[in-house]
Amino acid sequence: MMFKFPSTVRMLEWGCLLIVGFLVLYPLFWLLLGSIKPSLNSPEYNLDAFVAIYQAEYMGEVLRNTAVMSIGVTILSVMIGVPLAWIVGRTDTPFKDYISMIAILPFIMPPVVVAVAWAYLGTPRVGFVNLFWKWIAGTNDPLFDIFTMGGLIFVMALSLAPYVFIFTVTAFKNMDPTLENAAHVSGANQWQTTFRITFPLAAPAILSGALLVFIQSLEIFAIPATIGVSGGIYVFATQLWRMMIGIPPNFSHAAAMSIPILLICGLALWGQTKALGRSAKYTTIGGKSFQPRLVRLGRLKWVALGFAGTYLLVSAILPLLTLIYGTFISNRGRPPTLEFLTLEHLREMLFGDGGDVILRSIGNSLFLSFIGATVGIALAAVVAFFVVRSKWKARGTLDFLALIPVAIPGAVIAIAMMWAYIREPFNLYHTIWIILLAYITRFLPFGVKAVSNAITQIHEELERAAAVSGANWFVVFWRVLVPLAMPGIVAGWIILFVSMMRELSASIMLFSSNNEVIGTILIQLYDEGLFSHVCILSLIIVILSLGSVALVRWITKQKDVGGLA
Amino acid sequence: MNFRPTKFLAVSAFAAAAFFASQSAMAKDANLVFYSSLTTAAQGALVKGIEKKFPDIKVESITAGGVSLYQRFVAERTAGKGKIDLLHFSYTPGWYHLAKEGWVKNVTDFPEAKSFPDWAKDTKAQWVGLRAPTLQVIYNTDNVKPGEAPTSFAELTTAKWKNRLVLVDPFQSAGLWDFFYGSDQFGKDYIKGLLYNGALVQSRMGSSTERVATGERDVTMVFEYIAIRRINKGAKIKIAKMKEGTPVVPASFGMVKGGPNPKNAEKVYRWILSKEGQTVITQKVKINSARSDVPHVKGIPYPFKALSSNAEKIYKEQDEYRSFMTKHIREAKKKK
Repeated sequence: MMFKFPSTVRMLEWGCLLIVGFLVLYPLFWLLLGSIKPSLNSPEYNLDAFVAIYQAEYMGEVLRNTAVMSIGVTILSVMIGVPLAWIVGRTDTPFKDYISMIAILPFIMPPVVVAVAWAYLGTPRVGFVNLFWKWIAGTNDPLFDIFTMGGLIFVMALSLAPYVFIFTVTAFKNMDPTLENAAHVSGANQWQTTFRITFPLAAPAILSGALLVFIQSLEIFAIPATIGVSGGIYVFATQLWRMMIGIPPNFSHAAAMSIPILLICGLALWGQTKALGRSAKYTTIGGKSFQPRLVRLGRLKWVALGFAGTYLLVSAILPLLTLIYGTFISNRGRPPTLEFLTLEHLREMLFGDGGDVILRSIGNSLFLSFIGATVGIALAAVVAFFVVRSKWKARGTLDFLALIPVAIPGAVIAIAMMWAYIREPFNLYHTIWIILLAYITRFLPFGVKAVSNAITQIHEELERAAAVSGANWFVVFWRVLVPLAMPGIVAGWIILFVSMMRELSASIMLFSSNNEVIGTILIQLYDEGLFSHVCILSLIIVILSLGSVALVRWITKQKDVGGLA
Repeated sequence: MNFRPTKFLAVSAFAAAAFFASQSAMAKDANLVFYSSLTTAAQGALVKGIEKKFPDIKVESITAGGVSLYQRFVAERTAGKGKIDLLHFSYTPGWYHLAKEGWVKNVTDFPEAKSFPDWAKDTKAQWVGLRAPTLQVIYNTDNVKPGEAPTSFAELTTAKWKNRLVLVDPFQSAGLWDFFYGSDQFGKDYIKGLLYNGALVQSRMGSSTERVATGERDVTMVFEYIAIRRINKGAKIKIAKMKEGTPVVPASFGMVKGGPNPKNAEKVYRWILSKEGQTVITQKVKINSARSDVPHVKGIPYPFKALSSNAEKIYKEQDEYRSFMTKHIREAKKKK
């Protein structure tokens, strides 16, 4: 039999698999090796780390707390994110553009900042919200205590709900109204159509967002470390940190602990695929022009506005006001009167002895986030295309490979990246490029999910039409699919950019002199108790991220990017 | 004009190239690598001081929390790298591990080290204290009436202070609990006394100071430089004088074996330990020196009766220590 040279597309598919496989599996190899060796340079192999973590004291309590927290956070995030996306994407609620813009603020804020802000707002004795409650209710009893399981779930969900919102709003806005119109013609009312047609059509996006929220809730450390530990609630992320601390550090324990999370993630992905199937019923962008119909809410639009406003108040406005208060107040604990307002913190931070490092970190973060998001989303777009469109048998493997990094806690992936790239032939340690590689690897799943959702909604008929007209793969991808999927691609870019701007866990192990990033400086300032500086830097992150989002929207002419108006 | 992804990618490539060029141009002729757990500003000031004293030396430094730096150094070493010259972090038990692995040089024989008291150096773990931070008890001046301020560590385990304390999480900030566990004077019983007295265990020292400054809790224990910074800015907190004395947690400072610049490392290390170097440290970093011939920092209670602890005990009993803390923090919380 004659050798048949593989087609260009097949070679591209293999190339894509090789790149993603290398980015993910090479560090993963070192992670697995680390989990079965007491120390990386030990000749011994054993499963002691796995035995140790499951025999650890209170592991049952930790697993129980983690399950309650993660499920609670996922449910609450969906309960917030989906209605909010629907309000912005499909209703005539007023001020939608502003809602859409403010809705991503909690996503932009680093989790440590959200945690610190809520520690100010929700402490029982002097939390601002509780003080306000005591004043209006004329009582000495607090309204709530943030240092409880409920408080932990609440703060985590505020921080993570934007994932559901961003994914879902794209689906709502890009939805082909054909099925909804058919429902109307068949006599269904507005609400029946919404619940029986609109929401099921958005199910893939909702599930993608929920999946990421679930996995992220297992990984985030700062909020459980601040809110959870204060309430005596220990979860997986804080337990992992506790296990890693040791003399010598128990990196093998940390590596072993991340393996079950990988399995849970795999299971969740499998469940998602099973639940949705690969049916064409979710494809809603076809060759015909369409304009999704807006649901007219009548007086209910004020209820919708109230819901959105309440979420925005607690998730963005109150924490932002706390940051502004922390920036300008001479000493926290003092009232915000003119007597106690100052610009001294700003001067001290930017022009003091650490000023040049802080400014350099801002420049580095902007560079890493801009290039990382661009390279990451380009790779994610190609991966998503093959995952969604290809008939290739290995597409499922590609999909899973691209999802793996989201399941590995940042602190663990950083160690794996260091072990992987510190050696020949890479020698990337102590350069900015290892951070870039870590960022792209770590956040690739977010880009893939964002673009996959967008491509899933595009009917193949347009690509077939282009192919019939003689266009090759590249032309179909570049001239047909990319423009159609642009809202999803830009939404993905923004998710990557913002995630990279606030990244901490991997950076803390990989940064080096002259290569500091905002996240490492932020945690350093937090450790030093310089909360005023933390507030200023957080505001800088918010302003730079919003500015970058606006710039990219302007460059790409995307007025309506995944709800990020 | 329509958006052209090609142009966007081209701009990105240009930005990457420009940054790469600037990185290469910035590639310094650093000839001293210094990992430090000093604050960002303090390390910046110290580096300026070093480069002023030694104009031929360019310092490349990394600052991070003590435990993070320790973990990072060990991860680098186990991967066959970790080419640094000077190392400073206050996670004292970790130094016994570094010494056991043979990663640090003998520094306690330097003549400059002789001027340091015994509690500020360790011949087994091979470090000398770069600075001598003290643990201070601070209280909120609104919530604690004049005359009510604590006067002894023992008092903090009594009913008077029930549910009024906030203390750091030992798994996020090690210094405080390491001190009590390693101290014969305090030990396990004292730790239990604090925990079962309704102490709120949370986060790190900056956060504990915050809880007291805002009045959420009344009393905490933190390093003096954190407290003094807040007091100087008008926070409603004061330092209480404890009759037992003042715990000192010397901030370990050593030289790494196999570092890339051994001559510069020794030159700078010995200068930092000298009277001149320690004077610069106290002036720039605003933390007292362990050397008695160096002027102390204004604002820090001085003189004081130094209480020291046995960090080697933590190192040797670390599993038991962690288990003990895990158990009693949880049990105390349940009994609250």
